Amino acid sequence: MIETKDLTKRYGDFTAVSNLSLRVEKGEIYGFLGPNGAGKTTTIMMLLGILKPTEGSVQLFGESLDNDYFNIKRRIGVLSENQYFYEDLTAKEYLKFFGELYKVENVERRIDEVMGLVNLAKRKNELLKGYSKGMKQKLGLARALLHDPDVLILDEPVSSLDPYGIKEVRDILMEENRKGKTMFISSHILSEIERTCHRVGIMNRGQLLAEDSMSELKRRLMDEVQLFVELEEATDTILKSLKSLPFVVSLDVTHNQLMLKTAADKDYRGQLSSAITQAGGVVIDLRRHEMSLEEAFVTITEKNLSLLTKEGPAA
Amino acid sequence: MRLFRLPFDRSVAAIVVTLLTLVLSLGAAAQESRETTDEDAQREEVRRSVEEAAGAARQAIEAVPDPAQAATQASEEQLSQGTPVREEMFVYSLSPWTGSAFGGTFAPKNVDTIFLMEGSHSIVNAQRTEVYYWPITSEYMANWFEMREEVPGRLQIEQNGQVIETLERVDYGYYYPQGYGGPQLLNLGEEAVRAYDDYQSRIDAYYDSLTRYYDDQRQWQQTMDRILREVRDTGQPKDPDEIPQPPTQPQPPQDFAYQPRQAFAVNLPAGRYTVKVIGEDGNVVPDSERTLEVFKPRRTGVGLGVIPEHKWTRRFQSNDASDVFYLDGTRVFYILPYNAQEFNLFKYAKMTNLHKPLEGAGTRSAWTWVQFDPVADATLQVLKDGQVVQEIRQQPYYVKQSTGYALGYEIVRFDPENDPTHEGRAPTFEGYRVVMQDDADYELRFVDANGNVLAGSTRSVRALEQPGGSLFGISLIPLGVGAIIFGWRRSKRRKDSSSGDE
Amino acid sequence: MSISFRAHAVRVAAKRELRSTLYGVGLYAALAVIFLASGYFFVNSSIRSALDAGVLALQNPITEPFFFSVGLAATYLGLCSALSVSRDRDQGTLEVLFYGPVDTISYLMAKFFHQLLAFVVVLAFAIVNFYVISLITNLGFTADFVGFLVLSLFLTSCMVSFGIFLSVITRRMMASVIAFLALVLFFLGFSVAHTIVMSLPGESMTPLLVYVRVIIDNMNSVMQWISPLSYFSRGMTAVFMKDFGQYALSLFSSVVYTGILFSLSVAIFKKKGVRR
Repeated sequence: MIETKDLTKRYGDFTAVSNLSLRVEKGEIYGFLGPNGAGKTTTIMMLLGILKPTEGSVQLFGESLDNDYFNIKRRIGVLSENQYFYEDLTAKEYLKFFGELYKVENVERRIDEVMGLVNLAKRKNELLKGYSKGMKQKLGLARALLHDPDVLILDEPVSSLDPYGIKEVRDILMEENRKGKTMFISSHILSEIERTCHRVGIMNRGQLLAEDSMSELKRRLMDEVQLFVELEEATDTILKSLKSLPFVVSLDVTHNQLMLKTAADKDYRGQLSSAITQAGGVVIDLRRHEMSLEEAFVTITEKNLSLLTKEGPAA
Repeated sequence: MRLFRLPFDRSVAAIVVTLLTLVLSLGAAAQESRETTDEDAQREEVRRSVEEAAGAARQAIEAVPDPAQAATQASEEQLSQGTPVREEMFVYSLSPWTGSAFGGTFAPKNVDTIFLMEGSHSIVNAQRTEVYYWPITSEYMANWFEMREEVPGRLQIEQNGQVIETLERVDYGYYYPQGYGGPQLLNLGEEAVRAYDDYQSRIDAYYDSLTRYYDDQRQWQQTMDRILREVRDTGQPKDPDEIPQPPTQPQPPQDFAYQPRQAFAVNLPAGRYTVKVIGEDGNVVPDSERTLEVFKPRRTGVGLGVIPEHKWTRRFQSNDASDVFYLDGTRVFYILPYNAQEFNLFKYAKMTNLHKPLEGAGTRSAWTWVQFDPVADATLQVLKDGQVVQEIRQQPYYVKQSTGYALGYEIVRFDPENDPTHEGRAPTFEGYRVVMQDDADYELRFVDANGNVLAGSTRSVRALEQPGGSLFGISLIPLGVGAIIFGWRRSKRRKDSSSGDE
Repeated sequence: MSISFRAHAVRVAAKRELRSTLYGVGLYAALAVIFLASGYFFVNSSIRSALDAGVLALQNPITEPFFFSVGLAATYLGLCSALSVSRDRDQGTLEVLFYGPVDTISYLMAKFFHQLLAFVVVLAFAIVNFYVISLITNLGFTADFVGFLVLSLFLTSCMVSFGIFLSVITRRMMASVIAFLALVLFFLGFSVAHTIVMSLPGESMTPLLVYVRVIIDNMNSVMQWISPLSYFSRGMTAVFMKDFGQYALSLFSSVVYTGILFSLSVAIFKKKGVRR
């Protein structure tokens, strides 16, 4: 649905986006991450044809925007980071305008639907200059959904929302995805990305450093696995036995709680449990510590791991 | 040939004065001769005086300069000053038709465009003369008296690189059928020669008849002296049949004809051309290649001079047929129609002032109406609702100054037969007196003797009404509409919010 | 295909803008001020002159204030145009439009047609205003008036395209406004100066004044193709002349002027982009 090839944008000597190649499949929710100034918004603007790439190409629905600008644009819904409205209009008038622009059939009914969806139905006849920031963001989402697009491109869709609003929007997006919509979401609220996205791409300094599914991305980031074990009683026999295991890299003991690091090549929890039992121990709890997206994001963007550049699709 | 009044320029006036002086001196000579006693000697004296006068008149006529020379001749004073330096050069001397007369100018070598009017011949000549710039009047002057050499050759006219006409010099002469200051004709070729010869023969005939007249006058005087003596001696009155009628003094020709000269007579349709003189050797004469722009009026119409009866001094002109006459109440005014044409100011001014660099400068985008001769033999029609309700003929009027403390004037019909104060006077103007009621809208127009409406002569007349404050009140209509829309939208929004439209 | 989409975008966007104009008070207030001014400076002064003289010839005494009014209204709309693109860019609404099926041409055309449609509303008010004036003063409409009506649309077209052009080349609203007002005032001032200098009698001019006149006249030959006011002025002359050829030519040249400015605006807009 969305594909870029060697997409580059330069402003003089400054390269905002460098050789970006990514691909978002139909029905996929693609999370686009990166610190401020990473080139996310520039990328989105190039996807939308608002910025002209210095090099490379963008294809939406397998077509270049230049070939079928209006048809492609009518199949995309966009929610930008900042909300800009004609403040002399009411929400209904505003949506009606966009409904007409996108040639939405039964526009009045559709307006009621999307305003209901974002829980603003009661405020639709109010002038937009009276809307709060959060309401405007939801109205922006309503506008993006109004013409039932095939692809949603969302830039920080929940940045101005309260937790309740965030949940509302998350539910809407999940539901729309369930109906088959493809989404390209840029957000700095990583928990949201983690919860909603099938795949993420991580940008830094104009480069796509990592792009993969969440689990695979995390796996690739970890060369050791941390295991937390709670025993009924941590005896010396047990500890000695564990230390002798070849896959155990380190072991820390605090009372009856053990923190082990093992090689990441496979899951050693079974072998570990068996070794404890054989040494006469009783396992009360055994958990593997997962790396969060935040940790992965920080790891990737700050350390620019060579590991990823070797394995991952990013240059 | 065109008939119009010639502006009375100074050099021509000098000629007329010379002619009149000659005629008067002739009369004086004849009178003087009457006092001599020897009859034969007297007769001989008169004949000699008349012949002298006739010769002088002929010389004066032949010496009349053409308009180009008359307008651009350097004065003795200027020439004697010697600075700035005179430069011998090729020039075009020009007598362009201006719509009412033939003007005079010349194009020094630094003038690259010559302007002429469409629709009539203008006189163009290729000459060499001495030229200098006279800064006091900001114009180029020519020393025609001392140097005026015709450059032999043909005038080649080209347009878009194609030769469209090659002109040889032809005889030309100006002719004034009603005398100097009256309408002017340009005769070309044999007609010019014939007109001049005819004029000369009539001048000669006039002087012959003048000689005869003085002879007859002397004989009549002698007869009358004899009769008076007989009556005095006999005391008997004479039979009226025996008293001879005095001879009638012959009148000199009232017209005037220039001696024919030779030049190129140019008459081209409007457009841009290139002119050059091809010398006898077949080559282009140096400095003779110029651009010739022939132009035509933008509009032609009938201009109206309007004199309000109650405000003689507040007269105005209306050249444009789209002018509307507005009246405050019933008004009387006089209309003096004239033929008018609208020209580009720059071209029209430059046409007769090529030797004056500043003349017309910076007026390429300006237009001007030029007033020509009065409209003759026309009737003014007043129309109401498309129907002619009144026809007015031109009448002479006299502006009478009021006497007493209240200085003012009164416009009255000029009527020397019934009003003794008009005797011996001329009418102040001739015009059409219009009494316009403010009861309706009217239309004025002029028709010729055949009843045809003169193009551009129609004017609407409307009676004004004072609007008072309502003029400004209606300006607020948009604000009212805006307020209504604003209120409507506000109430609609409220209604939508409170209704089930949610 | 894209033509019909573009036309649709133009229609919808222009309609929204027009609605916004009609719902606001700016246009109505501007018209009221303009009509008041034209009533005072032209109609009232014509009437006073005629009343003072008793009989007076006036050329199209309704057309003059009409020209003044529509000229000012066109200038007002030109100013709105000058504001519009930079305001959209400033407020970010420009970007939002371009998320959807709107491209540079359709966006600028919508701006253009919006102002032209607004001018039709202006014309409606002007016709009513001057018709009522003609009724209460008997100044009278002339047949020329229709010619001026059509012509005024083309003047507005020039003025609006000029405004859009300035709006595109400037980044900020204030810069657009200043540039537009400065240039229009310059054109207007030049036009007045030219008229005055041309009407001065040549005989009484000093050489210095003649040189000034030459400079102004030469400038005028350039200015008449740059200033949007000149296009109307030429058309007016053609109407007065009853010269249909010149009239058609002046309309055509207005279209060319509009087209050139519009094309330049599109090219510059594409180069500058829609982002703030």
